[in-house]
Amino acid sequence: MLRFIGKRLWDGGLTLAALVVLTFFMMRLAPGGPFSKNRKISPEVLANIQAKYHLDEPVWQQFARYVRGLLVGDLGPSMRFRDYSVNDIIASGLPYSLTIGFWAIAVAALVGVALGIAGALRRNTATDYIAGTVGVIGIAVPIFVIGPLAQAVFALRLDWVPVGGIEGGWRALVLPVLVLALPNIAYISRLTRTSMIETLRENYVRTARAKGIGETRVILRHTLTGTLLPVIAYLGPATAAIITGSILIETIFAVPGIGRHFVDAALNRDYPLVMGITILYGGLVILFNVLTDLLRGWLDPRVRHE
Amino acid sequence: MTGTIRAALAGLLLGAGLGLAAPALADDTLDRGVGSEWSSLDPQVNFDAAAGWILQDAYEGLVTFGPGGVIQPGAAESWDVSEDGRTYTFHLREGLKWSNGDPLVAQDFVNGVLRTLNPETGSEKGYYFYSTIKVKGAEAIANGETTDTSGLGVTAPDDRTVVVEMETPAPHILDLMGAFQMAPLHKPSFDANGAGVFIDPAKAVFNGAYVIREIVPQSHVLLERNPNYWDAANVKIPFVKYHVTEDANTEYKRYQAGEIDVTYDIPLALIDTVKAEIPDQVFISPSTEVTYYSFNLTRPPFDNIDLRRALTLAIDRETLEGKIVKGGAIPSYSFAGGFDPTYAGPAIAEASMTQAEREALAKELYAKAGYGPDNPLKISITTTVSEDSTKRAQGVALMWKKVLGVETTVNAMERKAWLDEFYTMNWDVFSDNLVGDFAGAETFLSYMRPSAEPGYQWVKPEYDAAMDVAAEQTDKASRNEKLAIAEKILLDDYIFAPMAIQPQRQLVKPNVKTWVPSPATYYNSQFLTLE
Amino acid sequence: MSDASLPSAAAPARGLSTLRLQFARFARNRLAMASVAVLMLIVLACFLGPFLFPFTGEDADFDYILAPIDFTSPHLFGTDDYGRDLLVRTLEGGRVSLTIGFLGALVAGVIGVLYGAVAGYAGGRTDGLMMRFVEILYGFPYVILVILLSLVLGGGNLALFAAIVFTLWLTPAVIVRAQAQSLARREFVEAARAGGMTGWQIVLTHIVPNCVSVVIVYGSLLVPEVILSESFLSFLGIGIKEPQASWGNLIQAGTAAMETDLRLLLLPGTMLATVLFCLNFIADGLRDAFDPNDR
Repeated sequence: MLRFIGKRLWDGGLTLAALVVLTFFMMRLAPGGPFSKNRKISPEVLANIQAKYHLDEPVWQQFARYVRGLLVGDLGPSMRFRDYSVNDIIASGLPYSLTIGFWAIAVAALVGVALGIAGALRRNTATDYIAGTVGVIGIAVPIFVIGPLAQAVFALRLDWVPVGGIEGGWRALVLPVLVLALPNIAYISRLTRTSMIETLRENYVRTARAKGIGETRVILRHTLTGTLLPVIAYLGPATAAIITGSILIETIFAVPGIGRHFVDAALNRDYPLVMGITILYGGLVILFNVLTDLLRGWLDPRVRHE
Repeated sequence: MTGTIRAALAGLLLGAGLGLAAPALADDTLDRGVGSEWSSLDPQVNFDAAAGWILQDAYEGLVTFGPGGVIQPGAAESWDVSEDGRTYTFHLREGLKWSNGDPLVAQDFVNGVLRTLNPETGSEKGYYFYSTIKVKGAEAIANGETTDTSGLGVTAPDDRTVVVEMETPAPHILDLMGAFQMAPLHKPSFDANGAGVFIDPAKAVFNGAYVIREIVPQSHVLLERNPNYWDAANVKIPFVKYHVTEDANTEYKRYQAGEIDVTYDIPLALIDTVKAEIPDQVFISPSTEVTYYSFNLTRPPFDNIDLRRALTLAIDRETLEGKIVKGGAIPSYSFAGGFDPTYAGPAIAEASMTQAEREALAKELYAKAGYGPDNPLKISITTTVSEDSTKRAQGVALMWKKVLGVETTVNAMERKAWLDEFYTMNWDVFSDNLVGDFAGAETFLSYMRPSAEPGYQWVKPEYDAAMDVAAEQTDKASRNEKLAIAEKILLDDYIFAPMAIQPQRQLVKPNVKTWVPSPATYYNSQFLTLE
Repeated sequence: MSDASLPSAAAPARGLSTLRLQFARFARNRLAMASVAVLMLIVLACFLGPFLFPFTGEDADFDYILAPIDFTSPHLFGTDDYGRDLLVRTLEGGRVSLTIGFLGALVAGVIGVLYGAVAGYAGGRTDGLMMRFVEILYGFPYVILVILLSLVLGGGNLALFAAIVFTLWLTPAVIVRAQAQSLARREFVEAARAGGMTGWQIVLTHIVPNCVSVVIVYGSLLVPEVILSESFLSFLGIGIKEPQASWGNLIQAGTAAMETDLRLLLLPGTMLATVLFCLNFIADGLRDAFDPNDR
């Protein structure tokens, strides 16, 4: 077990390293730089600012400098937000993104699985169709349509929650979490439904029923783990994406997470911030893949022996 | 997973805590939108206009800008000008204090300028002191040629006097003596904490009408009235909160819900709606940004003035801005006019014609330049991908086609790439813009000097000469006169087609009094009241 | 993907008759067939519809700005705030979005299949290296990758398309690789090898065709993913640029004007939702048809 984790983490580390190299050099291929904006400063002053951020050095040197910083956990200064280092920016934004992401996953998992099981158990009844409709809406209607609609209805008309920002206490989290959860509820419920239907057909379930075990126990004890396996497999990579701050949600609901930086840092050529976010995201993807595999291994002995 | 759970709990507590700690129902708080997050709260480094609002509330320069951007005494209660217009002596008020009670002295202002010019600070604002006005010794320090600061023309002979010596007279110096350029530096806290002091409300020291109480990156900055401000008695609003508003539509909804009192912008698609529904709350006024279409003079046929004139005249600016772009930009037939009411500048010769007459003339000139239906001109416009820029470019392309038969492609590129593209000279027509340093003609005209911006490849010694003549005038009136002469030379050459003055757009709640449009966007909270 | 499907795939005639069987099964799925019909209708409308009108989606008619729905006027569904006909714009936008969707999924699918087949068949070091590259790309935040790639490729709509496709081929590659790995161990592949076929020939003639069913199923989910991605990017301001319409930027503009004129959102939004519904049902149908376990 430990060897498995160790190997996966080592592999993950290599991948991360390659990611760092790739991002670093690719960014410098894009035209423009962080400081081209003002045409009125003298060339000397511009050169000086570039020098302050070591942009005048040969790229290899800049890279070496960056790696040296990485080794001590220093992600460098932000070139766009002059007051903060990348560590500061990530540290201030991450809790918001994580909170919303965590609750969105929790809601999506619980509601999605519940809907899926309900649909599977009551196939082709009203329950199934309702669950199915929720599912398809979540997939077919983009978040940036649902979001503003939800704001217009629940915040403006009904005044139940604030339109955006983080001032309203837990209420400010309701819409972002629900809207973010919706597409995942859709996928998870469909996945669960299909998976449950398949599992219910398995021989061991028939055996359990033949043995006279009550239906509830059959479902909870005997089919749940089998049903959940594909769901967990889906959740792994999806979680990393959600947690690193759905950009849309944070833009629409004015949440100060790190999601906005994904777009802005690249557009502003804020090299260290792009690097920092990519490392964070890549790291989370790897971490969640390992966790998912562990979870599956724990739940399904067959997987363990692969 | 525990880390996540802990973070989640922390986040929840944070959320709840913020909810509880917010000022009760915020009627004592002015909530303002500020667009994208400020680039810096360091007064000597920050270069964003919007973030400048925060700093103008928290710091005060020698002068301050009242409603509408009117220059009035700030930290300095009066000033004298020397005969030759090169030396300004500012007399500070008595008993000025920093927010922590320390006395505010003249040397603090000198230190602010020194820090701005110091290459180590990496500030982009230094050029105010050696380009916009030419302070003695400023350029040498900024370029790193010398580290001897005693040569700088900004001095404090005593605690209540600041003297600014310039190489050439510049009556517009007063526009540059506000908090955005001349914020003082509190040396003890800066020396003790470095540049990090500016984002630490507990340690930072301010001299403006407000002090910064709370900073949440990507979210907001909260300011509170400064009891040690010399005019604290007249500061009516107790709290000001600047919110980061990345998305104009979300900002609009928050405005509707009452969460924001003054917005940063108005979504383009809603301009007509708000003008119809809440006209008293809509403020669309000129800014200090001018848009113009530059011609690449090094590329034939743009070396032919007839062609340049034809292209300039074939544009129906009123329809373009009024019906196509619809952002509220003000059509313009000049370059530096429209910002300063005391400047009676020229416009292009054909400005007084009707559009029909202009188009007829354009067709003539086009033919004269050798083009026609069997020999159409094929060119491209290089612009950014922002909505109004592309709309404008598309509109111009349509007009050139309709009037002259020119085939134009629009080459929209992302902003950074567009900035770089200018210097490659790899374009036909460049959708250009310029933000003035203050609401006056000179800042635009001096930029067009070949010596200031060689990128245009424009050779015109008469222009430089005319600008030099203007630079010697000591008072605004004669200066403006001479600048107008220079502008005529500029416009007569048609090196660009003047297009429009960019608008600024805000929605202001009716209980916020009194919002007066200011071209340079000076909206100090101390001059507003909340009813 | 279980092994149970393979014996039938390895049967004679290189799986053609099986494919026919599978498509027949698909045809019996009423919902899926209905979706195909609706989708075809929409595709036809988008590509041919605009020719039925005397104006294009870029012709600004200043006399009819923000006209409402009026089936008696030349502008059936009204106009937008520049006087451009909404219906034509939506159809033209559909051309762009559908092209990006199908073409993008196709290109990504082809690249993914080839990549995965080669990696799975080759095994060993090559496989390890190729998959490592995939892992690295997975670690890239999608938005950053798209922005950087499209900038490096010169900006513009083609660069954007290339950037989107480049992020898409990863999942098909991973899936096909798994398939290819187990296929590579089969006897018929051994036989081919013994018979003197080169690696490339084996990959192209034996491995790829047997992965088709898997790819078709997963590929059909790629199309909605691409279309949604483009609208996501448009919302952020980095999608297809005006004046070229796409469902993404139409919906984005419609969302902005949601309070005042719902029509601007409803028309492109409904078309997009319909297409996504259809694609999902088709994908479900394909999965049912191609996976014999789910009878």
